[in-house]
Amino acid sequence: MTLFKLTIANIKMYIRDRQALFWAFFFPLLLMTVFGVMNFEGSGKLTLGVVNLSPSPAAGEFISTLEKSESLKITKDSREIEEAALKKGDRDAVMILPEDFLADPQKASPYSIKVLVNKGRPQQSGTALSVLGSIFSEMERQMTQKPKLFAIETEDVAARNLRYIDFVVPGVVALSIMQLSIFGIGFTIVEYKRKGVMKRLFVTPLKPLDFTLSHVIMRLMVSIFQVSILFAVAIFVFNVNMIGNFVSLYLFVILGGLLFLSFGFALAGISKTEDALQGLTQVFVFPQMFLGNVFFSTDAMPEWLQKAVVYLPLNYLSDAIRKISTEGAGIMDLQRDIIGILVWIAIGFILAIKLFRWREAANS
Amino acid sequence: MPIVEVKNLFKYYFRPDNAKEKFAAVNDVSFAIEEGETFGILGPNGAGKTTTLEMLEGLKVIEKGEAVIAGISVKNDPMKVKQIIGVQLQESHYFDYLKLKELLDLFGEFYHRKIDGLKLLREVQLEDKKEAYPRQLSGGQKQRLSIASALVNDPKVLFLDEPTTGLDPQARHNLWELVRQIKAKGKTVVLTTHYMEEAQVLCDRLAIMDHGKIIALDTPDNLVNKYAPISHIILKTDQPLPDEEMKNIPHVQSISSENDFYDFWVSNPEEVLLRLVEFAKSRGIKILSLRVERSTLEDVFLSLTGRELRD
Repeated sequence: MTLFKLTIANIKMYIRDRQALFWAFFFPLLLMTVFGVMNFEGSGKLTLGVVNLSPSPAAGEFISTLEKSESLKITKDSREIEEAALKKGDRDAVMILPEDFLADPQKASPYSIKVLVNKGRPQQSGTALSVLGSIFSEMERQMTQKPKLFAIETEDVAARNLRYIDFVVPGVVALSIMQLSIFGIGFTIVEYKRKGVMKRLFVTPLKPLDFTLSHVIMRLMVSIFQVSILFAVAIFVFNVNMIGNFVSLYLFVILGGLLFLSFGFALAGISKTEDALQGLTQVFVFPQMFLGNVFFSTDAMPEWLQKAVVYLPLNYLSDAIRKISTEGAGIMDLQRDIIGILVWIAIGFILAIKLFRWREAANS
Repeated sequence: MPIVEVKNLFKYYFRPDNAKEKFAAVNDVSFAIEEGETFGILGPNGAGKTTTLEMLEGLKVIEKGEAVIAGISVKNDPMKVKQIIGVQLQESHYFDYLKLKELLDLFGEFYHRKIDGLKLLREVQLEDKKEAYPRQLSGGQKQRLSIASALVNDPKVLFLDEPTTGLDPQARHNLWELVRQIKAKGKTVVLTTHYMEEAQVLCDRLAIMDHGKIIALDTPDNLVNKYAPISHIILKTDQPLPDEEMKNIPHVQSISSENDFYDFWVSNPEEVLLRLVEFAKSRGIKILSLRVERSTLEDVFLSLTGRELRD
């Protein structure tokens, strides 16, 4: 009964605290919106600079054919300007059409076309060359009127197109669970300690377990609510495809919440002031923001780092939520993540019990 | 049987200037408080008053000595003790986002009691603030809220740690009135203070504490009579008084004069007053002004320690 009443009181206090609401709801939404509106993949087109030295109208026609290509973005300018743009990294490749290009239909020797590529972007340059290669061979086939021997039919097998927003939303959700749990509980406890609220509670018969549980329950409820709102916005505003089921999602919200709450209690136990807590918590949170599979895939990291970061608490959580959201993974598919999180929960619990002491908190 | 019994209580702390050396912040403190009594611990800052109180409340571990409240050992059964005591801490902060009535109801819940928060607020004259948040209260109102929260479990013993420190005189008098009302209901009150007037006005018995030790313990009047028995009779007359004759009045210790005012240091003011008035009447001397000043606890502290009781 005490637990129930205290939990209700905690919820009331939480809702009345505007600042806490901002961090819990507005901030993650802002983060998501920023990543949703920004386009990190670029247009997906290759930027090809074309320097046309040929006066022939056929050359002009050829360029307009290129411009119709879906995979190319064409710019036309003088050689100096295009080369400078290439050097700046604004072009993936620059093609120079010679003065006699398509000027003489009876020409026997091949036209020599120079393509300058960006050495720093070998992948894009390679793609540009192969696209150009296929365009030229198709053109050659038409001009020599040879029959087509091969026809490649492409079929989209991956029905879902994983966009960056699809990738980042589960990451932001996992990050928000971590932030909300660890900072939320940490700052509350340290403020209680500093202001003497813990001391006042200590001299009542309130059981430490009731106090702790009431905060855990309240925070988990807030996390579930927060994650629901984040996913609702992701689905309805950013058309994110959440294909897993919400039961598994909420299970991980609770597991992740427990994990980071226990660390929150532990860190609050050893911090006397908000500043001290801020520092300690950042040491825990900051590396995970970047290494925890949140904003970018760990695939991009060096292999040795990849092997290490998979053990980060946030990594398990973001991995699980992402697999639920983008692959429709169920609990049985996520055993590795569940075990990882459970191990971290055990570590967090032990630390919390050792470091967050009822009497010490009252006397500090 | 006393309701609070403290025997040979010690508390050691590390010296602030030398972290390796310990000193006794509470040094062999013993006292007993009867039910219904208002017991005060008076002393300067750092005397060990708050530490003593916090050991009784269970906040500080009792390493050496014994404290028993209503027959329950604080050391062995702190949870049971917490059930029957009410505590006002020196600096009380509450949840920022709970309204006063909600706060008291919640505190009642900690004792598994359904309480009438509104009635409690009325008792401490905060009824009109029931919808306010604690941070919206003035200093005196905060202290009254703090007392209300200490009363939610109808405690057998109420602990008040420097209840009026930092309050303006009017708020202080308000709070004294409140403590008197609580006292009138027969509650046992234990309070610490460094205000003599407060100790004098509120306490039935008083322990004077200095450097971790209780240096005197008695009723305020007995303390004054015992340690500062000198009173002053200050008077002004229309003509000079004969020095020698005055000095021969029994119980007069010494006389000093300044600006036509005579200051008689006396050990029995009633007797001396009578003789002085008779003397003046027989000689036709007119007494223009007359004032009697009893010694205060300040004088008691001064005579006990050689220091004044000031911050």
